[in-house]
Amino acid sequence: MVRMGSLVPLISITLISTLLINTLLISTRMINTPANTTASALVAVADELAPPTEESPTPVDSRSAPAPRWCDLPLVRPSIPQVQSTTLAIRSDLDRIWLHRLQSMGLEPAPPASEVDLIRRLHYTLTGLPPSPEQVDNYLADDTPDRWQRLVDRLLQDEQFGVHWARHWLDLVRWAETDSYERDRLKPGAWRYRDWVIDSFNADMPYDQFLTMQLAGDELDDETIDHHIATGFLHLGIRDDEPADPVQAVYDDFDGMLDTTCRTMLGISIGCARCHDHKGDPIPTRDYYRLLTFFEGLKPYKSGGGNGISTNNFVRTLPVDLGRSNYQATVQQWKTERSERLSEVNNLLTEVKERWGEDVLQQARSSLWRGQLLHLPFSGEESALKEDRGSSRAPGRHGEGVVLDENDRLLIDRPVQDDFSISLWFRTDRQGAGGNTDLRWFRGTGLVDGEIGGVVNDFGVSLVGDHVCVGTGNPEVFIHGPQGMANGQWHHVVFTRHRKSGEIVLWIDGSRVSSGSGGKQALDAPQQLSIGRMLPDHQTLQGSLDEIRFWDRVLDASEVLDLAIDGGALPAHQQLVEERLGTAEALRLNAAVTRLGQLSPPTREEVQVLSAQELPTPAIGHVRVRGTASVKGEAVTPGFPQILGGQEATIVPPSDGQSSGRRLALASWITSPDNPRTSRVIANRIWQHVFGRAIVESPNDFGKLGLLPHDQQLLDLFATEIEAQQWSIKSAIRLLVSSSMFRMSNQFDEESNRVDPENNHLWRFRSRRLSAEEVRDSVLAVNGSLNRSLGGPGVYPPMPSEVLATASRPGQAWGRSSPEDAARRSLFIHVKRSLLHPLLLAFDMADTDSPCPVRFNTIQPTQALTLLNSDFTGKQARLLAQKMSRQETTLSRQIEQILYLISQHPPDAQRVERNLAFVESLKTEHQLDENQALEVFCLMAFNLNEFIHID
Amino acid sequence: MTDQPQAKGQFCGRTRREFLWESGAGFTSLALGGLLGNGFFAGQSLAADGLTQFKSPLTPLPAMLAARAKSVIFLFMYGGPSHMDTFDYKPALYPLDGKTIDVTTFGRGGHRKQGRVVGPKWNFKQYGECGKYVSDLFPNVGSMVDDITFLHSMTADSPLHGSAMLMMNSGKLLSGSPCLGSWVNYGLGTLNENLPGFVVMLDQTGGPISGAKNWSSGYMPGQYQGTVLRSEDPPILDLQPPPALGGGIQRSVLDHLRAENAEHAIERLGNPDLSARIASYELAYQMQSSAPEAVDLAKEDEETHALYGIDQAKTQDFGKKCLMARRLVERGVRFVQIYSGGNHNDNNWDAHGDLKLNHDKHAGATDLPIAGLLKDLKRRGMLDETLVIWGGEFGRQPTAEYSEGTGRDHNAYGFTMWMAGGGTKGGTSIGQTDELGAAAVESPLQVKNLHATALHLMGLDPNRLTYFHAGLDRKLVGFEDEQPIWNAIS
Repeated sequence: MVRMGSLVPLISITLISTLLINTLLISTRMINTPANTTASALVAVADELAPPTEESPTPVDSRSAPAPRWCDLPLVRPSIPQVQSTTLAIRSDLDRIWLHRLQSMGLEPAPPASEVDLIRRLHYTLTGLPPSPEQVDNYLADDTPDRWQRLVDRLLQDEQFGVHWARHWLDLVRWAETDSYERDRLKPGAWRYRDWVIDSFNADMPYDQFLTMQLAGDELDDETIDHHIATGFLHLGIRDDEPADPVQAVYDDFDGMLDTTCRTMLGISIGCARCHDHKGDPIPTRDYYRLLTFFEGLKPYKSGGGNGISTNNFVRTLPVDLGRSNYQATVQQWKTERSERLSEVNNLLTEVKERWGEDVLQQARSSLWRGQLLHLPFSGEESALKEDRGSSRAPGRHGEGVVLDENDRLLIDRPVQDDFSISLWFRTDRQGAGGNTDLRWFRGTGLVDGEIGGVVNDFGVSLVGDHVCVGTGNPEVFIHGPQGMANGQWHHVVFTRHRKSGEIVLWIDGSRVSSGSGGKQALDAPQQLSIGRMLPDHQTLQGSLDEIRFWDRVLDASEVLDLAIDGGALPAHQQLVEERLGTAEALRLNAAVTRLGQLSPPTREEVQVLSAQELPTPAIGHVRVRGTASVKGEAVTPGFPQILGGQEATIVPPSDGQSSGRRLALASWITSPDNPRTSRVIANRIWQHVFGRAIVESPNDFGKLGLLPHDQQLLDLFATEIEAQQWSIKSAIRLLVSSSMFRMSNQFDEESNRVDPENNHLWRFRSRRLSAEEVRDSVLAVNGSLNRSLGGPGVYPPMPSEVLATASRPGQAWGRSSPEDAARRSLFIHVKRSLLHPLLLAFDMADTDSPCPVRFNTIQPTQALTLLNSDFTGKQARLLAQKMSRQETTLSRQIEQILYLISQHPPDAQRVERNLAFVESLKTEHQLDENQALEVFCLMAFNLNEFIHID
Repeated sequence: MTDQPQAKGQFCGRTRREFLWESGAGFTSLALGGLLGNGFFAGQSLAADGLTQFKSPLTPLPAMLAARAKSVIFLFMYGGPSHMDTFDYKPALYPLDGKTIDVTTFGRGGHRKQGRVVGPKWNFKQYGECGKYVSDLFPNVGSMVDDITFLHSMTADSPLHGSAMLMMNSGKLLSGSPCLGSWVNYGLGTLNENLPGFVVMLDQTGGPISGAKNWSSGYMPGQYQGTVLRSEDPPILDLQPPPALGGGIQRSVLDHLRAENAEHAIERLGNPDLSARIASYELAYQMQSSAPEAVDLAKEDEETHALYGIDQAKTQDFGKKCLMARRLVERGVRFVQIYSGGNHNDNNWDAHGDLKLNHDKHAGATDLPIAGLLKDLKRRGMLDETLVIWGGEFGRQPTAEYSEGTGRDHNAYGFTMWMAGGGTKGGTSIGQTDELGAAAVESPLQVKNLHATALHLMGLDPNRLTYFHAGLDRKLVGFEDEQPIWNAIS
């Protein structure tokens, strides 16, 4: 607490708290308290407003049964008082409790808001976007009695609703797409979690299911890809890929999961109890570790030193139609067909054998293996390996293959230097190093590689971003294949080099995809080649390799195809066919092999998913003494905190044996109808986002360190209504926006203000500033350039060079999107923890590293500078001016339309006149032409309070 | 020490919440502090229209303790300079060059028990009245040793850049906490509303790793994060009006905007945010002229330029930044951080390969400017109220990292930082590493002691400057009470 020392002896603790509350409200919302208010005046106000129900603080013995706090008492629907009003319609029981409270305090609700204010308010509340002038006009022209309900329903059905409400949830779960720290790595497929949240809100997924999916989707019986995507929730936090203490880092990660779960879903700040018994709420350390045990079975982000990580532990490659297709049947059908065609080939071969003798086949085979210098099948001991750092074996493309992760690599002596062919199979679901813009092979993750820095005679095959790249040095020549290589499928790669011509060719999956012309010298620089990692020891391939072969000659197309079709096992060759050209067998053989080659395996779209995965054996939980992960204390079993009953968890491991069932037990307890917190917490949050402030103004902390509800009856009624609607978020929101509370104006009243200066009891509606995302989205919406499409990987609007210069690798810090993508809604901007969007930062976007229950609401000169001077607003103002010049013929009409677009209020004639005079003065005083003047006017309009504030 | 340290174990013992940071408005308890200190409203400035009061969240606040310093300049030697090659003289190390010895180290290469000694690559000589040994890398800084307090026994919790950088800047290994500069501004506010209170200047080659995380305000509101200032135009992002608003057009726009916003506010009584926003535009307008003026080095004479090495190619860039730093603190900026080194590898002090090449480059670019800064502050009488801190996120090992070459791996077991001015003693050395420089052996110091010292000198009690977040009263120095380095303070 900041310098409270001198104050404590003077005033009671309760009073200080209240005083602080009011100081807060005064200085942030400044409820017309005169600037010269003295401390004593404030004390007087505080005294008057001290909540009567607050108990005096007493130290709590953590082992004794504490008296339950209000939020831990069972949720009961309060009795509904009889109320009457002459001034407004009473539309629901919520209205009744609210109005009863106002009347009992002698407060008068503000009159209803104007229709135009209401339309604007509702659009922003439900979609985060302004209505268009047409939408306003249509509504005003509609005279049916249920037009408000129809507007509410239409907006709840609008898919932009999900975009806006997803943002509220993402604030809580510290949504970001990178890990932070030195490398600030991309979390593969994290954007799918964001899209899942949007889809869930749009589909009105019941809230209990919404929570269960995130905690334990993978443990439910039903299985779709969404069940895994939702568990990405557990992996959104910061992660140090090079921690000084790897064991502690694992527990920091678990702590992040537990802390986010407790604060977000239960309104409990439990982090304190990691090191010592919580002094505020009666949560002993043991309770913390019992809860932590629910997460302890998850595979860790990393398990050792260095900066290698194993994405296998938290990323799955899954078919998009998982659990929803008959893919297995299709595969079976393919196998049958393939085996038929294969036997056709084999029969023909037998014929060939009989006709031309056994040795013709030997010849054909040897034609492929001729000149093969080295073959690494990875199916037994590999004597050729000079170093094998950490690799393991698993079923590969043919027999066993080699699996690499973290910092593994293999070394062999370089077998070739002049003409050569290198053939390999690889499979990974993780993009290689270097991104997708700079496709030089030595920037990537080595597959088979001899990179040496500088202009030297080296060469290699690598995975750069999502592409296979190959090249030779001195001079550097590099070519690359198509995108989509890091898709979790096996791919076959051949790299050939012809010394005399310098030609290099890249083949992917049997097709020639690229060629180039390189140096003609012996490529003799690297003494050794590195497999699965660039020779200078950079990033390791996180995936598998198999059947690596080297020849001292250039393979031809049929040989490559043969390798790609079946690893060279098919003895049919063009050569053989050509030798016997015109014979019936050759023709038939050729046709049969072609038919076999045409029969491609059934494909299935597979994608990378950030998702929970557990270790084979559930961990035994322990108290970690004073929060030090390596110091184990008493053993604990999964169970719930004493303040919420203290039961042991009932755990049923899922039948698939993939996980312990612990997280599902946690989810069941959180979403149980008996849990008094869950409904209250979500009810409070929905209230917060509809009415601008929550009923419990510390939405992540209902405990003793949090605040008391302004009106517990109102909160409890709303929470029971949500339960009664089967936890439908849309129904809950509909209930609030249909109320008379929502339809009040924000009209000020001296008398009410005297009684309730903070408007805690909602005697008038609370106006608010647009959020960071709403500011940017509204600018784009107003000039018509907003791209309203949903979903997909994050986009990269232009980032000012000043911001890029702050990255340690300025040139590689940010991507580039098309102008259309750059105009997507702000939610779809890629969230990179070390490089955040400057406009969103200026307008108080959520912190990315810890749960953000309430956005800050600051007013800073930086915001003015951003809206006035940034490239973004300048450009958008120009677009708006151009649009209006096309649309309207007179300057006066253009100005009128711009003002209408900006505020969604039709401007009166006087207002238009005034602004026309301003534009005219720009023309005369600053010698601007009409287009320039209109552009300046548009920029001014983006800075108007009526644009940035909602009444 | 003017205040009794708080009893241990009180940090979670709040009965009710001083709190409310959760409700989205963290800075307000300061308002209370200021209010009770009678300085709160007096410190408010009127906007340029002469009518509207803009309540800056960075309004100056009275110090908790008697302040020794008004500002901090933190010269951040990113990458980790070698202490035994700069300020921590280890004569025993020279004859061991090339010999393999038993020594416990922990760096990028992991934990090791043995290593090949790299003898210091520069000679040391004595400087000043205190006779301090300084290497030939820093002859100019050497001339100022009587004003410098060396901290030879610094330790950090991590020998890896990512977390160690965060530790040095925010006191935590984990990302997401406010930086020292944020805490200073949170505790004290700014002395000049027309300039940002926490300024960061980066190396030409790019930011340090983790970029903006190193000057983030973490869980505090955005106004406490560092503002990146550049030595070329415009110094701050979006500070300059675009061409469309040039030639006085912006002023016309602002006048019209204010009139329109005033009209809008008439019907909206009881919404002070609206007028605060009007005022914020005037402050922004003032910043547009104040900030460029603050960093306009043409206002400085030739002798001053030479003092900072701005007339020499090698030292020009860092020299400019040091001179800008002086001008900024002169104008009331609370916290200025200048990075020496950016990007990766030898673009900063991270000398894994060729120590000589690396440190000659970085010391060569900074020695003269740093000495110039100290001399200039001193002759202007500003050194007494400006705390200058020098150092990196850790030091380097006495032994080589690779089988060949002179490169040293990271060392968080013991390294040197120094402070000058702002109430520090000068001519003093505190703590010692062992005779190899491998680890702190006498009076080991932690990063939190350094932070506590900076806060204390700025007039903030490191054990009482707290910010309620996520159920805890957070402090820069961690959960437990921590002591400033008392014997560094004059």
